[in-house]
Amino acid sequence: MTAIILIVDDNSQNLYLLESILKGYGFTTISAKNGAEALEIASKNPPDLIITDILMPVMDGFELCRRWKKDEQFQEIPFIFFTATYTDPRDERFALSLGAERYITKPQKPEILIGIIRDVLLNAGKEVRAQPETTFEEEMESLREYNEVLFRKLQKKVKQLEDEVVRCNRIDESLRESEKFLHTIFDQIPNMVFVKDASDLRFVRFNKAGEDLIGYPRTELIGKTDGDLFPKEQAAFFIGKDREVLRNKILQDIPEETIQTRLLGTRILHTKKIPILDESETPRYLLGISEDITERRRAEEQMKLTNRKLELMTEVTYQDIQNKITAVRGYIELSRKSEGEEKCGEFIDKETEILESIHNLIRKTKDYQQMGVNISSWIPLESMIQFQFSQISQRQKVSLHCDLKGLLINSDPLIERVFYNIMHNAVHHGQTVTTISLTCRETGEGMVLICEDDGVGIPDGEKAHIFDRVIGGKGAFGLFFVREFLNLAGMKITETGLPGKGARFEITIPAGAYRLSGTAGGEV
Amino acid sequence: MKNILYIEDNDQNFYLVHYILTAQGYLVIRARDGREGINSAMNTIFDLILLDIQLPGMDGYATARELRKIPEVADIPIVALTSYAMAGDREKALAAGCTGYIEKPINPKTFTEQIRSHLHTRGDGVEE
Repeated sequence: MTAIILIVDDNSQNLYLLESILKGYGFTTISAKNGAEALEIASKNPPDLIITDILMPVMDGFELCRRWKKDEQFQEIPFIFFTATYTDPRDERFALSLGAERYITKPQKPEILIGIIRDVLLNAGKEVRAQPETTFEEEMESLREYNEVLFRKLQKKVKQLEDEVVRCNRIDESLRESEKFLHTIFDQIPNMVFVKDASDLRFVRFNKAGEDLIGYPRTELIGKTDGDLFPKEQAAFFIGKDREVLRNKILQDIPEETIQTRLLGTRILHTKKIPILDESETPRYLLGISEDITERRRAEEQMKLTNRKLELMTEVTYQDIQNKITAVRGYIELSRKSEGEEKCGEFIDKETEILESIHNLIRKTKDYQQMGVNISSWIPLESMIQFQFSQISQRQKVSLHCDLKGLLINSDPLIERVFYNIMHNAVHHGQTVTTISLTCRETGEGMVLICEDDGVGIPDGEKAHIFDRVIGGKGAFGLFFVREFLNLAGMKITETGLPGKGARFEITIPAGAYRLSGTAGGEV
Repeated sequence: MKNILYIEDNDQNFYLVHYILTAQGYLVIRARDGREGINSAMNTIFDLILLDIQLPGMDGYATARELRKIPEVADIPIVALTSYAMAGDREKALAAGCTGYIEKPINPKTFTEQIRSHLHTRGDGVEE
């Protein structure tokens, strides 16, 4: 059976240390946190040896020793003091005077400590240090010494604590330094970085970029919730995402979210939210990093619009050239069959004219490419429409009544193709058409342009499909382009004619995209 | 029996080293951070101190410097456990007062041999 050793120390780390060593060398250990507890434990479970610290709350080591060696149940059980470094020799003398077997100072090599313990156990009972009966004077002297020893011990403890305070201050300082360093980095990050408390989702940190974006100094942001800072719906969205991140405990990427700021209006953010967990995997904080992608998003939209316009232009040009080539083929066929030179010359003139217009078209495409399709300018509508009308080849005589004097439209020059297409359709598909008229009137929605003819109109069955991309006839394609282009430019087009009485198109130009100058209208 | 103080906050690391060294007959005492380590070193004179460099609070370097201030620790080998990835760790560990270092992750096959060789580097020349 192994010897049982009672270890007494108020410091749990010291208890663990001594327990580990003694167990490592084959002893059984029990422990107590102070003298009183040691006496209680020992009375139920007497050890083979007791080893104790001196300074402890409730009952110190000296008092424990005095009682131990006076108690008949314990006095033969070896008593060892194990105490901190650099003790005064008077302490040891006093300790031994109380009847302790040994007085060992720390730190000690485990093998030496174990050697002493084994030695003391071996001699247990043989060297009984019977306590002589003490006189009153001796008792008083002992108490005086006891006081002195304790005083010295306490002085040393105070000194230790002072050193500890100095050391803590040093650590504090280096922590502050490191905190400052981290804060500087945090503040310099060009994206908004914020931290919310996981329990109530209040902001606890904000960096400089965050202040700039939201538009408040961080002193006004800290402690606030999304509900305090943003419109109801936005706040609900943000908080919903926060809860999701904290619940799932994984990073969430929010590619796009809108946020109302104080000074910069509505901004679009790309946000990442990261849960910050403690050791027990419980979310403590929520870290957010937001990049303001408003400008990028706008540029992307612009790019999309430009691409769409380019696509449309390419399609229109392709269609136009295709049509003209068909016409040239027709004239070539005619000139081949014709007999008279005069007639032949007329066809060749037509062919040359068409070739010239193909050439113009290609040159114009080149122009568009060079000037960029999204450049708008103020275009006088009447002269532009009249020119486009003159470009339409006619078999029968159709006249144009254009009453748009002074109306200017702010648009991509490509808008001329809109009117060309509408008038071309009237001339070529209106059958009985004699007149095309263009008028305008101002409404609450903007300026409405009305383009109507007196032809056969559009049959009810086709009305729903005239703006579709593909319907039978080759000319119909033009209306698809017309609507697409007008939509991109923020304008609307509808067909309001009556079948049999002619086609009628209404184009609504929003405020700001048109103005009146000169005599007509009078409004500027 | 050789006594080793192992200052390590990570349980898995501690149990692995404890397992390997205990099997070889060493007594391994644990401290969970720098302060505990220093306290243990002031209470017991170990044959070797094994010190993880990445400790919470007071880091391994600061711990090594404080340990070297304890007179009884002056001649005891302090071996730093450094991460292989961190190039500057070793130099800093040596500068802080460590006598050597072992790279993490440790290799169980060679670890005891490494410890043994560091035990021989103790400055006072005492061998048992």
